Amino acid sequence: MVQSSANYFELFKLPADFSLDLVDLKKRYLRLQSVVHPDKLAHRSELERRRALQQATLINDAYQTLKSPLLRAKYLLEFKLGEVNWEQGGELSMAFLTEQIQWREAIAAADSMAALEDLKERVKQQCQQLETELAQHFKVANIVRESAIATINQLQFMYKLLEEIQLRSDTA
Amino acid sequence: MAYSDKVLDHYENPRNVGSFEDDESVGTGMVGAPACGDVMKLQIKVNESGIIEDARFKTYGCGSAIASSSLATEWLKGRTLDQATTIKNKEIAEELALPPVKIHCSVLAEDAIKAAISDYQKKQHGAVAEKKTG
Repeated sequence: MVQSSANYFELFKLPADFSLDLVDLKKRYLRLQSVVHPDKLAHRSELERRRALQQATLINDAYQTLKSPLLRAKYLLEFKLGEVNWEQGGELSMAFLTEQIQWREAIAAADSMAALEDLKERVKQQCQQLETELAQHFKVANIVRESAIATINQLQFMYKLLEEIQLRSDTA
Repeated sequence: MAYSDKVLDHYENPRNVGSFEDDESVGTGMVGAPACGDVMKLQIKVNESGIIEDARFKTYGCGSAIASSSLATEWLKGRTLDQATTIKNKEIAEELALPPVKIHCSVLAEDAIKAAISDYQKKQHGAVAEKKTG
């Protein structure tokens, strides 16, 4: 059975690292989920079923967190270095914020699905670059807290852009 | 969550939206909140007597963030830089009746005001230094 005190990485028997194989993660998730699925325990006691449900929820949360590079990075940083106050964004460079305004303007001005798709691709490329950067941050033994937070914050802004693009696509 | 009438008013009729051409009389403040992805750009135009004669903003965010920056530009006009620094997020939040979860939007507006003033002052110091050395 699953240890409820286990961290998300231990849960899937994975090393606590930013780089991971999503296909492999999904396999591990499905395997674990099939073990504790409440439907399989219909004939068991109320207590066992409740415990199974809790575990299924935990496994689900763990999977959703590790699946997303942004949530994984946040989780991993706090796991390694303790709690972070994400509300306090730290310094964002003028250049980065200017770029954000420009992205937002471009999204607002996009007048076709093709234009939105193009923006989405470009934002995704930026995300990938930031994820590569994050992998580097986490690779070293002494993670530089401030730099890691800065990159995570930037990634958060890029995710927001993807949400905005999606919103525009849905209403277009 | 329901927005207050004042937030709705600023959201539907934002004051002073836009931007200034960048020059020595303009101070630009850019701030962002990673947690919600909001970005705010606030600019002040300062005349020769050191009074903010105009202000503009461009905010991408929720209604409260837009209203906070819209209100800030209204309040900034006609103030000296010293008077401008006294604008506090608490006043903005009170004026707009922001709920606790939206207080950070008014904090963002206060930070944007501070950043704009500091940017303007930096430019002025730079200009003075240039005159001295030039």
